[in-house]
Amino acid sequence: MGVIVTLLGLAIGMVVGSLAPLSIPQVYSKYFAVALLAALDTGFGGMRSGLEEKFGLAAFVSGFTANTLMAAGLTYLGDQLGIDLYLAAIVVFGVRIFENLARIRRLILGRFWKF
Amino acid sequence: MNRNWQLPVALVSMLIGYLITTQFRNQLSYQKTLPSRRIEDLVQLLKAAEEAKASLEREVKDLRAKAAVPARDAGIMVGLTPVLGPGLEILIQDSSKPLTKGEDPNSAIVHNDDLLRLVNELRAGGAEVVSVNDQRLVDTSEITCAGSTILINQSRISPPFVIRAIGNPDLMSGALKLRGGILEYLEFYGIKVALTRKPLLTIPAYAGSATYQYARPVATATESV
Repeated sequence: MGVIVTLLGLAIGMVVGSLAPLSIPQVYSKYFAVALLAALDTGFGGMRSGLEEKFGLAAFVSGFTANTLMAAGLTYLGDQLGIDLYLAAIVVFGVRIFENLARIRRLILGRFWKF
Repeated sequence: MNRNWQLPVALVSMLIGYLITTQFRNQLSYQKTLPSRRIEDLVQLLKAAEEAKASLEREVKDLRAKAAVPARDAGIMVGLTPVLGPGLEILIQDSSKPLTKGEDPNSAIVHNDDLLRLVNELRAGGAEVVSVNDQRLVDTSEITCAGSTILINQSRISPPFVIRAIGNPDLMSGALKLRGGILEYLEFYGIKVALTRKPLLTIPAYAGSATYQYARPVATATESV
C-alpha cells in the first residue's frame, strides 16, 4: 500500500513536471542534479523507515531539506575551491540509495517469503 | 500497521518526480544544443564570458559617466542648452536728457557698438553665457546695425536692451565699472545703464539654425596638415 502511494506520488510529480517544465540554467545543472540525488536518497530512506515502522516526520523533513541544500551547496563550494566535491555526494548518496533499496526489497518481499 | 509515513513520503516523491522530469528535460535540451563539447568546459567558458561581459558593462558605465560631463559642457558651449545660474542683468536705455543745441542726436541712443563693447567687457570679466534681449550669443552671433534697429542672430532687437550674463557677478560688474571703462563712457553720453545682480538667471537656447556651407570637420590626422 505504502509503496503504491509513493509511486503514485512520483507519477503525479512527473506529470506535473512534464506539463509545467522548469528551466534550469545550464550553469546550475550540476548542482541541481546533485540535489536531485540527495532528494532521491531521502525519499527512499523515508520509505524504508516507514516500512520498518521507524518513521519520524521531523527527521524526514529536515533530512530532505538539509540533504538537498547541503549537497548542492557543497558541490558549489567544491567548484569554487577546485575540488570535485560532488563526487563525494554522488558516492555517499548512491551507496545509501542502493542500501535503502535493498532493505525496501527485503521488507516488501519479506511479507510474502521468509528470508 | 502505522501509516503516518505515507503522506509525507508521497509528497516528497511527487517533488522528486517533478525534479526528475525537470532534469530530464533540461538534459535533453542541453544535449540538443551541445552535441560535442563537454558541458563543464562550456560552463567554464560561459562563466568567463559572463564575467568579461559584466566587467565591460562596468567599463561602459564608467565611460558614459565620464563622457556625460563634456557632452553637457559642449551643449552649453554651442548654445543648444538653455542654462541658468547666477549672474548680472543689465538694462540699457537711450538717454532721456534733452538735447542741447548742436548736439548730435545719434549720441543719445544706444548703438550696436555699445552692446558689443558691453558684451566684450562681460566676457573679459568671465561671463560664461550671454544673451541680449533673450538672443543667446553663440560663436556665429553678430551684433550689427540695421537701419534704426540692432540685429543679433539675424533678428531685430529694439530698446530697452537687456543683457543677461551668467558668471561671477562681482568680476563682471568690476570689469564694466573700470575707471575709464564702458560704463563711464556710456554715462558720459547719458545712456542709462542699470546693473542688477541676480542669484538665478535663465538664458534660453540659441534658436537659430546652424548650417555650415564652408566649414567641415577634419576627418583624418593627415588632412589637418
